[in-house]
Amino acid sequence: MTRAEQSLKADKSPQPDTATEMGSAMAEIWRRLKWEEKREFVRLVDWGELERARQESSQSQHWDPRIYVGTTPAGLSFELLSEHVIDFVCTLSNVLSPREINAFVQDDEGYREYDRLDSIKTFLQEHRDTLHKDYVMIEFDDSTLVSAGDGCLSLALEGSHRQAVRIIATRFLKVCGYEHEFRQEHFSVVMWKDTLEVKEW
Amino acid sequence: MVNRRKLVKSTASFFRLLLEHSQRGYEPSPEHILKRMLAPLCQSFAELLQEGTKNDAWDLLESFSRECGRLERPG
Repeated sequence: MTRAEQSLKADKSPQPDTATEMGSAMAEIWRRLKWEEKREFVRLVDWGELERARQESSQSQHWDPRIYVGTTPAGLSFELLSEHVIDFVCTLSNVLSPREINAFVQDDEGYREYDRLDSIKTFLQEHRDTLHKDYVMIEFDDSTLVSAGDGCLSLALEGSHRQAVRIIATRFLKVCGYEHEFRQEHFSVVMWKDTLEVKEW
Repeated sequence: MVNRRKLVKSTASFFRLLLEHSQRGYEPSPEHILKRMLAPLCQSFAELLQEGTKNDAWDLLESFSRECGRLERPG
């Protein structure tokens, strides 16, 4: 089967959602073409170029990923589903094993301090709504985690905690239900729908 | 009375979060930038203007500058 015939066959399957007006226009043109015209059309198209355009188009949409973890100059940056935030912060606390944990909460009513927390888990469970919609800074000794709500987090690691970057990222993915062993110093992992896109350098 | 030292540190942390988003391999949505980074920054700026001192403002600028120094600029 030639590439043109494969393409024609593929045309009978459901079309993917087109993210741009140009994509919609292309789909409309394709729908209106007669069989012979489609055969001619596929000879003109650079499929590699189209695929690159499709990828660029999907990446340029202002969608936020379901999962993100990436190294930063200060430590790590994260996006995860709200339902996993408490588990991840507890896991992070276990990895860092701080002597002292302090929290600083910023909401519509102002600012509140919670010093020398006995249990990070209890604090997080009592402030579940705050983690979802407000802004929280948690100090694990000298290292600092900020939560901007809905699973948007940034971690600045200090001192010996800086060695824990890959361990924290691995545990983060595990909390989200994924396994990956990081090998390089710098990396980013992003998941838009259901596939992890991993880059390491 | 707000703890101004922690307010400065928290504000610098949200500025860092903003810088970090600019380094990601995708474009975060404008809504995400507004809600997760600019909103807490704006609230903190207002609080610092109301409750803070000139030293707090200087400390904040130093913190911002420190974060900027760590920024990986495109070559």
